[in-house]
Amino acid sequence: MSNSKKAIRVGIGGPVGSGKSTLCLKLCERYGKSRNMAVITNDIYTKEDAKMLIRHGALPEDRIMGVETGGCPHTAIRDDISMNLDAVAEMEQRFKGLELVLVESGGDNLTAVFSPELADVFIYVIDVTEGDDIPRKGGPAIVTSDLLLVNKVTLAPYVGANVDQMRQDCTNKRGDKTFLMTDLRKEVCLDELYEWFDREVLFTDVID
Amino acid sequence: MAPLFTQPSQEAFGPSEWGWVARLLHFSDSALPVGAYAHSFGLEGVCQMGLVHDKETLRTFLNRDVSVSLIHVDLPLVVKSHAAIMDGHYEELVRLDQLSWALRPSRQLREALSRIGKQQIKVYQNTWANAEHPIPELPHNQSPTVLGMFYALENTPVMAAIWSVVYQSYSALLQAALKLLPIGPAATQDLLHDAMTTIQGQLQLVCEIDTEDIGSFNPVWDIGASLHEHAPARLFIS
Repeated sequence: MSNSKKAIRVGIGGPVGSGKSTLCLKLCERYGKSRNMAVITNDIYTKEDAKMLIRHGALPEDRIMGVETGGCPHTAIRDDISMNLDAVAEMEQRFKGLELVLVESGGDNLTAVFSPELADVFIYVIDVTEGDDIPRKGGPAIVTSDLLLVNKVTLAPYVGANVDQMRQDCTNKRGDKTFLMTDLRKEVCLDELYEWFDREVLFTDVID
Repeated sequence: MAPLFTQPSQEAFGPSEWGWVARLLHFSDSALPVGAYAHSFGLEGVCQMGLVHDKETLRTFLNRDVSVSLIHVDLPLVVKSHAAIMDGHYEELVRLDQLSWALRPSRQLREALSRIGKQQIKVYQNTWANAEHPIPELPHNQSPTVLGMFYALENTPVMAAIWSVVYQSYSALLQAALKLLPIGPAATQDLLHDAMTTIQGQLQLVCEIDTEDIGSFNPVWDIGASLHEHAPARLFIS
C-alpha cells in the first residue's frame, strides 16, 4: 500500500480585484513557515499574481508558479484542468511531502467554479465594491463554495454598499455554509478565517 | 433521373467496422482536456511582431506558413508513426518522437507539443486503451507521434488521422486568434474552411515524404515563438 499523501489543494476563485491574491498572501504569511506549501496562480495576462507574492516574500520564489490560461481562466480551473494538474504534479515532485497547494484563479464571473478533480476545497472571494447585489444574484460559486468571503467591508460606506443586506443574502443563498465579512488588508475577520482554515482544511482539531 | 448518391449497404455501417470514427471524433474534439486552449503555437509571437494583425494576414499565415509546416513536418510524422505501429516497429516510433522534438527550434513549441501529447496519452489510457496491450513509452510524447500511434492502435485509416490533425491544428490556431485579433467567429469559420480546402490537394504528398526529408524552414515563426518566451505580457503559454 502506498504511503504517499497528496497535498491538499485549495482553489481560490472570484472576480478580478476582489482580493484573491491578498488572501493567498495572508495564507502564505500564516502557514508558509509551518507548512510545506506552494502556490499556483492562473493569470489571464502576465504573471502579475505570482510576482506580487514573490515581491512580498510570501514564499520562496520556487514555491510559486504562474500558469498562463490563454484568456480562459474558467477553462483552466473547471473545463480543462490539465495545465493546473501538471503544475500541481510538478510542485509535488519538486517539494517532497508537500502538504498544501493554493490554486488561485485568474479572476472570472460568478459562474466559475473549481473542478472537484482539481480542488479539494473551494474558497470564493467577492467584495462590496462590485455591487451589494452580488450575493443575491447567486450563481454556483456563491452557493456551493466551501467558504465565501465578502471582502473590503470597510469600503462599504464609500460605495453605498449595504453590508447587512449582503449578509442576509449570503445566509439566504448558502444556508449553513460558512461565509465571512472580511477586509483582508485591514485584517478584519482574519482570526475567524484562520480558525475556519485550521478546522476545515488542515483538520488541526483531529488528533492523528 | 439518377439518384444523387447510392446508399451503401447496411453492412458497411456496422458499428464495429466504423468504431474508429468514435475515437476520431473524441480525439478531434476541441473540448478534449489536453490544455490546447493555453497555447497559441507561436501565433501570439507573430502577432506581437505585427506580422499577423487582421483576417487577411491570418489567412496568409494559415495557408502559407502553417500549411507548409503541416505538409512537411507534422503530418508526415503522423503518417510515419501510424506506419511504425502498424508494422510493429517500436524503435522507429521512438526515433520519430525524437525527430519531432528536434525539429522545433523554439523551446516553447517543443514543450507545447509534449505537454499536449502527454495529456492525450493520459486521456487515451483512461478511455480507449486496452489494458492487455500496453502503450509504447515515448521519450518526448510529441503530439504528432502520439496521435499517429493512437490512431493506428485504434485501426483508424491514415488519411482520417491526417484530417484529424489538420482540423485540430487549424482549429487550435483559430481559437487562439479569436482572443488575439479583431476577428469574429464567422471570420474564423471562413478561414477554417479556406485552409482545409487549400490543403486538401497537398495531402497525398504527405504520404510520400521520406523520413529523411521531414522538416521545414520558417525563421519568422521560430523567431516569433522565441521572442514570445521573453514577452513581458502574454495570454498563452506558447
